[in-house]
Amino acid sequence: MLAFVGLAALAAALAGAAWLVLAGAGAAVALKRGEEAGVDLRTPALLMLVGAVASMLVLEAAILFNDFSLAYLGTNHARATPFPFNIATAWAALEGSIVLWGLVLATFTWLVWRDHERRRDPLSAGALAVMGLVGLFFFGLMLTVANPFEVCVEAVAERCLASSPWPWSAIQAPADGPGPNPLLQNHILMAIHPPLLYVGYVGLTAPFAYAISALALTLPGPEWLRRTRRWTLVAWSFLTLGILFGGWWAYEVLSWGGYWAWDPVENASLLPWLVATAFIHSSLVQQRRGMLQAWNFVLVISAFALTILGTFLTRSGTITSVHSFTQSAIGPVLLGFLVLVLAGSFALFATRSHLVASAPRLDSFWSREGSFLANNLILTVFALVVLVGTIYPLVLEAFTGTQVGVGKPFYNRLTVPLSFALLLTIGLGSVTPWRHAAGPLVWSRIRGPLQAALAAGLVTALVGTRIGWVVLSVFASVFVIGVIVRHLFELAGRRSRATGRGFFAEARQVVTGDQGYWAGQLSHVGVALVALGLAFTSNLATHETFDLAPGDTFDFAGYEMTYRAPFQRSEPNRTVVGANIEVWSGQRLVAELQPRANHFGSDPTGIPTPAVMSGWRGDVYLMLISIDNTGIRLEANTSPLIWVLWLGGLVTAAGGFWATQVRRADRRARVLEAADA
Amino acid sequence: MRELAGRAPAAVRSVPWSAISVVVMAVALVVLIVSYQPPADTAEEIGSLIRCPVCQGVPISESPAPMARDMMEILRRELAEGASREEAIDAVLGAYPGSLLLEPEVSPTTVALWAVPLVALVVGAGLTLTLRRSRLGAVAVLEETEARHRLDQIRADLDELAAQQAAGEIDPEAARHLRESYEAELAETQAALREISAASETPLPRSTTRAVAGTALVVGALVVIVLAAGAFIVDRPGQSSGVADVAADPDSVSNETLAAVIAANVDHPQIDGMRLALAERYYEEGDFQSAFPYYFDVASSDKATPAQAATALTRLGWMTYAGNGEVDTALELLAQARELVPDDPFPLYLEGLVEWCGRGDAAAGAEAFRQVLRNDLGDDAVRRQVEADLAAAEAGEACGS
Repeated sequence: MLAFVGLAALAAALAGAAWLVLAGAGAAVALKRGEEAGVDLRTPALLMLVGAVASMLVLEAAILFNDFSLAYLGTNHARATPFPFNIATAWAALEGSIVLWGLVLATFTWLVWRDHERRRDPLSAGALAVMGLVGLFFFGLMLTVANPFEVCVEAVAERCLASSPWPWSAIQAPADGPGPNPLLQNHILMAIHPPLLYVGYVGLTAPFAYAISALALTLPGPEWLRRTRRWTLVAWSFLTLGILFGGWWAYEVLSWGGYWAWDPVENASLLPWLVATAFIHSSLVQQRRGMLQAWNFVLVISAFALTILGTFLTRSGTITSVHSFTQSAIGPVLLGFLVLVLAGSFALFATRSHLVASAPRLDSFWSREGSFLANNLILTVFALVVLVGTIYPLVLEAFTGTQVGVGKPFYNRLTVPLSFALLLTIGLGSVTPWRHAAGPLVWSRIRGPLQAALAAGLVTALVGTRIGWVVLSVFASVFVIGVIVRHLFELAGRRSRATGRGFFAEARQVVTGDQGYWAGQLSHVGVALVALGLAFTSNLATHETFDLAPGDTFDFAGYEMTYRAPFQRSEPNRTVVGANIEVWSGQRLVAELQPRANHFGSDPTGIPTPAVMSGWRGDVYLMLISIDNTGIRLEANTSPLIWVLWLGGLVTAAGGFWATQVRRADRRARVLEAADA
Repeated sequence: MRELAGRAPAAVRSVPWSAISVVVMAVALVVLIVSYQPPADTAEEIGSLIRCPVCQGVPISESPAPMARDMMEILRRELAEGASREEAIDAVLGAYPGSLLLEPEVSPTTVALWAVPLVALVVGAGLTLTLRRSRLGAVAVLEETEARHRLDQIRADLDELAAQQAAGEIDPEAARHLRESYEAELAETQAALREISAASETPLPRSTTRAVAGTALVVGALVVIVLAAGAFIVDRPGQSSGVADVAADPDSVSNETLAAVIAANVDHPQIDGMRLALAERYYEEGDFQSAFPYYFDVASSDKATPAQAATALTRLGWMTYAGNGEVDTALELLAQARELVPDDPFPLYLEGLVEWCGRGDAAAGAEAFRQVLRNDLGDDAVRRQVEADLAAAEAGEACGS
């Protein structure tokens, strides 16, 4: 029954998408000629949205009511899966995750329609048509190779074995299912990370749609950039959070003490982030200086294509990981779509190349726009390193059968120097004026921070560590943050002296007067913190392995720890086996940690789950390697200053979210100013 | 400079001192960093360069896989015995065929990997150079819309320039220079716009037709893709497979599904084929523990064909030796396998390895290898491997050296 409703919802969304393509293209062409559009775009956009929402609701309803007639549940859900993991089951496997994708896409399409409603211009009508095209593909996918509403026609007690796409087939439902992948129900972050990442991925469709619309309708100029800046920032901020929470999840669940492994799946999320970051900066150069028009089209098309590539890599089974699901035909289809997107977009771009060329207008490399060029060069090369490192081993093995390993050492060798160059560019660029920078002016703005940064570096080297990357990261981070803070103080101090009002009131005025700039600087502060956290955790972490019998005591990270006893307890969906470890500092009991293994169902090996004790110096991270009646083997790690990394990620995203509010805030400021006058 | 005069003296006077302090501190910092002697390579550091055969991109120092932990043990032992970094790496890579360095050395097959980023950096830097305004004014303007955008841009530039100068961000001399170049560009663009208006025939209808044609093309292609995707559903392999399909092609489903099917269908006539397929998968993943019971079931099943039972016995034998170090049991199991399939030299080859590596009996190992070589081994690489082992065993070398 639910299968019928779900399929009907998907069919409605598909029809809405198709309708939107035709109506949007028609309206765009008519409006471009200066005629009235005379076409209704609201109904198709609404149809797509309602269909997408309904399909998600049907899937959630099936899960909440344990309707195992759907094959998706028979392979991915279990009655015992607790809240909120049962809700998250809806996107814990391939078919369901595409439903979530469709829902986010339909929501963004609806937002694009609202923009169109306000302006009634060809650009937004064309963008709606492009959104419809993308929708056509994804809803088409759900009705064919990734159908979430297939019914189960052959089952064993706890698993659906065979499914049929036809909802009227004779249903044989299993009594229960195996539940989602244990790794995915081991931590609450797993319920949050995919939706965040999807909003980021799919959000990049909106700028892409406007860019294609501008190209197809021959409407060059900065208009499409102004209109999509907010969506780009929304997508970018969610992508930042998605990547951050992904790393956090890996740290809290995967039990190797790390958060980033340069795994192809992680790279797939980093790639669009890098390109979107470059785009956010280069679009400013076009808006302010009328340069880089063609480059902005290239970046936005690449960012969108990379989201599809990421989906292909993670979902097709080309790479085995927790993100790829059982074999399905979705791989070739996604690859085909990727080729179509790239070929179609760049063919269109080529036919419009005479329109998108912009004159060389750079007055000096020593200028804000010069620093943005450096930023784009660094980020693009960074993205290429990640792209080549991810794709090359696959391509080489496919064509020659030769295996090469490309991992952390390769990426670190190339990306670490690039990252430091990027940090210095951030520090210098943030206080370099547009057009032309006079040496003395820039020097006066960076002198103090430079001295402070060097002093901080020296202190680190003298009393802390002399490991080069750590010292350099302290230097670079203090420099970036110092430059930004000093600039704010200078502007506020100058205003305060001029007006005689309080310093902090003026500082507030400075920030509210140019929120776009200061939101960006907040993100820069976040990036500097991330760099600091990365350098500390990856260079100064310590680890040790201990074999312990109950009652044994060991020293680690300045604490005295005692293994008290093993424990075992049953939870609704799992059995937990672990060790009680007391952490003492002198005579004081600081914490009781429980590194453990979670056994889902009849899984004998269990998912090792670390116990983490956080403090301002960093984390102590205990994981259980093995446990039996006689004792345990325990691996103990430290992650120095890892909270700086998490904080930096949150601050970076916060800057992005703040920037999305800027246009509205500026408008309000202008209204208030007018009222004052 | 005059407008900056109010703040300039202090700034100018302090420049040498602050510059000197910056240089001194920078030199001190560089000296401290460069003179730092990192401690000798630890097993963790070297382990972070190596990937185990079953790991996905994670180095052995960070992988929780049992095989990675074994490889770390070898690494620690080598280092404890005084091996150099290179020797230790070679020992680990040699002991586990299929393991790799995570940073490929530059070679004909990997040169592109290293070259692409470097070439991009150089080409990109070269391209940014072309963005520099080469002379006063701009390149020829081609279209009216573009010319109008350009005019807006230049006027905005002039306004912002005035604001920047007022705020003291640009000194008057530089500002005057910039203003002159903007004004020249403005005049040039206005002239170009007049020319365009004079000749005005904008090819709007053609471009509209092209837009429609382009849209139609993309829609058409997308429909083709969706239809092709639909076609998949008719004869889709994989996921929607019943017991019969699983039995016919066990590789079409995941480990968990296969395990569930096996558990639910112990009386199925092809059960041993499925068990063996699953066990082989676990075996290849290095998960001996999971593979063991399935091999055991096949070896003790009366429905299994001799070939299936022999495969299971061979694997059990090898795992008994490689996993638990039990030489006698391993040899017994391998001998049982050989009885079932006398024409297959593989169990015999493993027997030779166990004699040689496990018991340290090079002569018995060499004898077994010699017998193996009397068979038709099919693959030349296999033959070379056995010959190499034979030569090493005859020379009385320790196994694996």
